[in-house]
Amino acid sequence: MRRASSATPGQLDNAETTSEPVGPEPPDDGGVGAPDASLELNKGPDMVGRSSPEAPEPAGLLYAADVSDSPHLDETLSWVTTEEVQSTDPLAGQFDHAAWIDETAIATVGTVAAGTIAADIGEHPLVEDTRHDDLEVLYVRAPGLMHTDVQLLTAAALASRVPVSVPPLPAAAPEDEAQQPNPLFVVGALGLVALIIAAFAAGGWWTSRTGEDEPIAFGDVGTDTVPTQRPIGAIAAPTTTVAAAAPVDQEVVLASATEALRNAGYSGMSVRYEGDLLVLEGVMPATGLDAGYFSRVEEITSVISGIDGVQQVSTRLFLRGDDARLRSQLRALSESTPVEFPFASADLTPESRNALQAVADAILANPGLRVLVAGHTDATGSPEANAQLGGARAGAAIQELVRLGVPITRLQPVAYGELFPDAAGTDAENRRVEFEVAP
Amino acid sequence: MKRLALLILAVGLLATACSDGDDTGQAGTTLASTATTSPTTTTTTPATTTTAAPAESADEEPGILTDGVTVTNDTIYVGILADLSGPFSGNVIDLVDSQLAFWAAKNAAGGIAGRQVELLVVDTAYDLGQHQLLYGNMVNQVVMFSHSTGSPHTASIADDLVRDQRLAIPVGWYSGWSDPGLGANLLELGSNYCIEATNAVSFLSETHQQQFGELPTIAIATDAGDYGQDSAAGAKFAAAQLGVDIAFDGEATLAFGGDPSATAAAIAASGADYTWVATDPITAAELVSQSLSSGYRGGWSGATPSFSPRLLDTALGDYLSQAWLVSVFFAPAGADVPGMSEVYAVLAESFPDRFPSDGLVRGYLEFSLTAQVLERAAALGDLTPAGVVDASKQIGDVDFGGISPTNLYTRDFNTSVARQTGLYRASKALFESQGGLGAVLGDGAVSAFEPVAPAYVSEVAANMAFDEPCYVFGS
Repeated sequence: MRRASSATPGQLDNAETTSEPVGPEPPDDGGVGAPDASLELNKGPDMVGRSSPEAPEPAGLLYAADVSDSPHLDETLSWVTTEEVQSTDPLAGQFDHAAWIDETAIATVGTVAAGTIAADIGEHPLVEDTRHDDLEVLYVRAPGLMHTDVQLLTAAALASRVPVSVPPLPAAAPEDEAQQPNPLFVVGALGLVALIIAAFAAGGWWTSRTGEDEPIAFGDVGTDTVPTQRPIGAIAAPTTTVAAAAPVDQEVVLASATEALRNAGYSGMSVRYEGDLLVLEGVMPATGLDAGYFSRVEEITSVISGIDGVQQVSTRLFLRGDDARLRSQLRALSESTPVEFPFASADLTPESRNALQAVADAILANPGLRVLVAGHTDATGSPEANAQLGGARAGAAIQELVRLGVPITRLQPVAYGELFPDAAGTDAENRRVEFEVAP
Repeated sequence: MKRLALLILAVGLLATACSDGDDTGQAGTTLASTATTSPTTTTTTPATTTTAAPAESADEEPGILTDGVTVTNDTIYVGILADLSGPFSGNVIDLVDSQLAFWAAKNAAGGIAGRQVELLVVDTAYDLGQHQLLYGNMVNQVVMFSHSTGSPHTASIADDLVRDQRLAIPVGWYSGWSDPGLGANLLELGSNYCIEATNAVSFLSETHQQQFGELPTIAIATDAGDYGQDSAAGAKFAAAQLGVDIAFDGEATLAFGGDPSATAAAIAASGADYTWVATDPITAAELVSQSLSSGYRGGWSGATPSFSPRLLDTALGDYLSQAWLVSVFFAPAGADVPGMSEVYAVLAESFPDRFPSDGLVRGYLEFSLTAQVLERAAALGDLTPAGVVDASKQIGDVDFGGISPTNLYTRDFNTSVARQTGLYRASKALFESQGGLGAVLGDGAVSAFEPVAPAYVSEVAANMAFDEPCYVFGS
């Protein structure tokens, strides 16, 4: 590897960071439920804003929530200053921020098109007042607003499913003003704050402890012209040709097929009807595929193909298990029977051992998936020591799960320590191990 | 018992994606969702003979050479050496599943030259010895390998592939694959780790300078071996070219299942503005969390295998959505590129309840490249392993509809290295708006990435001249 002595002519022309979108126009969404209006943050004006000539002309709304009662305020927002907010405020000079906004108590909830959720916010029981709702920026004053409320507002924005718009930004700073905050950077920072708050509402995570950290903002290069990712257009529903046949009792067929699969040892598979089509689906055992996947599919299909009433079988037999099902099972177990530890200990209690039996059962019932075993602690002690303790707790849980029959290859420890406390939990509840479907 | 009229319906048939004019008339030119007969001719397990002597086929297409073992009158056997239970299994299983779905559709549309393609799949568990062992067990049964997980693993069989006259598509983006001396029988997909790191470090440097008026500092933390150290070499190369200071060099300090705490502490102590990582997603998650514990507050980016959108569902998800610049070799699921619509449609029909993993898109790329090589071999009249190797030398460049940068299979080192990678931001908002880990293709869910620079070629990467790999294997 070496640097070429000179640039190859034309090579840089291949860089597409400043090219126009190359894809075809988005087809009609066709009602596929695509997230065409997810709340987008941290966008430059040319990307989604009103300065784009192709964009519709919704007025931008900047929702701001006073979260001064937040117990996490200092941790989350101390680096967002009123000055930064003002620097992105299209109403600068028209609006007395100092009288309205507490010095450190403003958080951007999100940006959505005008008129779409203003009513929702206005009807929020904690909202006392709004300002400038007839202008481009709406500030919401809600002294009692807590994280969950902010999340509700965010959810309302998400649910509005409308194109994103942002307020117009001040002109970019000239090069000799490099010490001034980059407006795009500030918008990015505000966007990050919104995510921080939503994250707290969702269960808490790391926050700045010093209040001096500067957020990292990516994406200010090329974001003005890159194509936005969008959902694919309408997906044609599968159609099948079904041979004419005598009517069948689908319930009887399903019962027979289910029993046949169970008797043959294919517990990870199931059958159901899609119209007249019998669908065989589930997790394909990874072993035995060295003789051929399609041969194996045919072999498994033959288990039910002889059942009276079975005319056609569509197979969806793949290697990955059901992420969503395992995830929901693991989370439900964390709620109902948490795996908790004594103070400063990685020793499993009898209750925790019992809880791990249910976890093992869930993992074993969902083949093809690996599980993160995350060890947590309370905040007593140093972060480094707590990370070690978290790792030890994860290891203890894994040891027990392996004893209960879970292959160790399906388990991976992660030592989170005190980083991710259960926001609503006590210290005792934070001395825990949690389980997540592995990435 | 009544006469069985069993039909196995291939999932998600898109004839335009899975068939071409070389097929034998069963393929349509429109959405082919009609029932087709089961590939009942694929039940014969290939013999385990050690010699695959070419012989003239006696089938209905006398012009095509077969050997009766790896390719018969009705079946072409293709191998998959995949990590189905190791550190990269989360993505690799999706990738393999995707291949299975696309081949099912291809077979339903007539297969290749009238033959069904059967896939022989084994779990290498990302274990070097297991990879080599399973390769040896399988090599005489298949015409080629459409998937080989792991750079060091694939490098370890590279010479064997040449000796055995087999092709393989590596799942691993080592910069040596383009070196004819190593990768003569390897078909590279996308760019390589070295270019990827070069692009990412260049981008971070560029944006940081714009934001703060000065160059950033970076830390590097990678696995040992071809993957991690190739990536580290690219990061260092870019840093040297741009004048970026490397505050901590943690090349080869990480390993799957290892303890990253020392590396995390060093990253925190370095105070680097950004850390470039090349490891697996779980180790990356642990490294990030431990670095945070140690007080690190810089940004992150990493090689493609280091990040998974599924991390957004973990406790780290919110943090990563803000602090991790996602680097990818391929367009994510649902990205706005011309070739994505058809691919997405097949995936949505095949996996309506599946999370929109990018591994599924990569699986399509492996399928597509394999299919094009096999069709070329069929057109040339020789589907034996040697014929398939010869065909691979004639495919030139392969268009993936923008899903992957065009690879030039020229066997010339420098010109065959693709320079483009993609940079995205993982969006927790998009992730959650689609249902989090419950987002499914059947609902039109896409990868929870927002484009930052989706087709990025840095000046440094564009001007890199390859006459040897960035990291020399075994050094």
